[in-house]
Amino acid sequence: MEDLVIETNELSKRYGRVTAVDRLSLRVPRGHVFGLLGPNGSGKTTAMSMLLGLVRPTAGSFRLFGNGQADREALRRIGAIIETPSFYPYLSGRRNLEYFQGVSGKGDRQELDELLDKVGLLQRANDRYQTYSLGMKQRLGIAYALLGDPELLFLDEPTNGMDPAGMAEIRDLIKQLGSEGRTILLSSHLLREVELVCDSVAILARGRLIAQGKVEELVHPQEQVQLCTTSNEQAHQILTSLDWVQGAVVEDGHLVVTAPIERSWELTAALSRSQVYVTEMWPLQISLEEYFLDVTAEDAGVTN
Amino acid sequence: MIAQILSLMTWEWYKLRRRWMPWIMLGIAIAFSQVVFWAGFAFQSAIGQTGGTLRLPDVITEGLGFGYQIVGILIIIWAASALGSEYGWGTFRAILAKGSGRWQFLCAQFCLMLATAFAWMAVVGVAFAVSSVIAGLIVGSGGLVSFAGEWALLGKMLGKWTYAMAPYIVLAMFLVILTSSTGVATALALAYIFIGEGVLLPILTATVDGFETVADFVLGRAVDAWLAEGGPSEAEVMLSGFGVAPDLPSNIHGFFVALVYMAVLGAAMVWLFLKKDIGGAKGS
Repeated sequence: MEDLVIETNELSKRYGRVTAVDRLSLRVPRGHVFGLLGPNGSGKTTAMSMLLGLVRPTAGSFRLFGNGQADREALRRIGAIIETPSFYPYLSGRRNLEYFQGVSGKGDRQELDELLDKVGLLQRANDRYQTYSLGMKQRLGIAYALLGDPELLFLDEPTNGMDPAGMAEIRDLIKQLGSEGRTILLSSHLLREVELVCDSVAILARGRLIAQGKVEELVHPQEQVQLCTTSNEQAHQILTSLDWVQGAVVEDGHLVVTAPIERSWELTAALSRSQVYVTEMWPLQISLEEYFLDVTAEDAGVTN
Repeated sequence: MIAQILSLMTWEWYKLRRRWMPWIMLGIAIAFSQVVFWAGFAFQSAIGQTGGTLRLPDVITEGLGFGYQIVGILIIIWAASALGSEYGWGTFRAILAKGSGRWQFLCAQFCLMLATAFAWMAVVGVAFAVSSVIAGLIVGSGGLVSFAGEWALLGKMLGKWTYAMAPYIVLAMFLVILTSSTGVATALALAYIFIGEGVLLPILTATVDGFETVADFVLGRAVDAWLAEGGPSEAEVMLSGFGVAPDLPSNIHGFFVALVYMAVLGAAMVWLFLKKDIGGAKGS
């Protein structure tokens, strides 16, 4: 039986007439870096807030670590940043962390130095939080989430406001945290970020779960190859005459052929027999972004 | 559970003592009480009756009677600010996500505010004592600073004043949870005290037949009754509004009415907070 760290069952949240989360059923296995994808306002933050006990569900239920709700014991095993991290502006970064460490009742002074170093804030640790840039605030938020060495991490848009170098650093950090066996629920609207970091994803739109699966399954290679040949027009004629080729179109100086990937070698053989030679060839793969746009567009079509 | 609340109190103190506001408020309380003391001393010097003013600890007990008025207001503002800032800065989310527990956090905040009120009163009392000694030196005739007063009464009154502030602290905290705003909660709490208890209550008591019975169950009068030692003082009569002499109920009545207010407002506050969704920063 799969060891699930998070399991939600028809979890819903309504604010008056607005449904923020609509019958969400998620299953997050232990040790996975799980991406929660969706456009702004799709319910990602509300879903995470419900799991942390900050927002009361209107309907449905959830389980953390296989039993119970977001009680004190469960929360002590979780680290989280939700939206833009909020800290006390008059305290330094270090004192903010020290306070939250005290509130959680876990950890020691050495842990603070290690965390501040890990997120690259050690030099500015004694400066007041109100003097931090957005990127530094985000880094402090990640250090806060890692207090007490949690088993489960909720990271809501963790690279928000960071420069490209900072984003890459945080991505590496998330990968490292995931490789240490932690379960990470990462919410983002940056699809490339999720594709690079996550094992599995769930896609939300208007509060509803519209797709869920492993990243490698969602971005699977299509039955299409792209070719550049010595004569694309001639190649087009030759390939469309083959009965097992489902289609071929010339696009932007190359040929897109719909045919089984495993028979690609037969394409090149057929072309070379007519003295048309392949100069470049690669399989077409759908990106997570394309997949996301497809499913959200389909969902919008269905809803409308 | 008690250990957890004590731990939360310690960490709240770690955080709140680094704000300017409580220290400025303490300064205001000391300054106000010193103005009262030295004005009284100057008046008594003018009529040649400084002896009573300088007897310890009676001078502290009497002075703190005035100190209570200002500390009582300041602690309401401070309690509202300390709790309301969590909404303003959006830090409630970070606190609760660390598993502090909602009612446990409120309980720790309340206990810390009560301890703060007690500490402020004690510091103001020490300031009175120091001023009294200085006044004795100014008068210069040895023996005017006497230690023959009732120390037990001072201790008892300190406890009574602190207890009297407790329902107002709960009121301020309840209003913060209700409105999610420091400003609105402070305004409502002060409006209740100054307009509700200070203006409307005496008018209604004086003009509506039988209203006095209802008034006995209003927090302000209950607290006055709890604090009254052998009948209301001149200051209490004056501060009760429009010079209407209050016919106060018994001490024990005052104690229980204040307790009921605390219990009801406290339960409502916890219930409301448990039900509320916690969002991000509302702006400081």
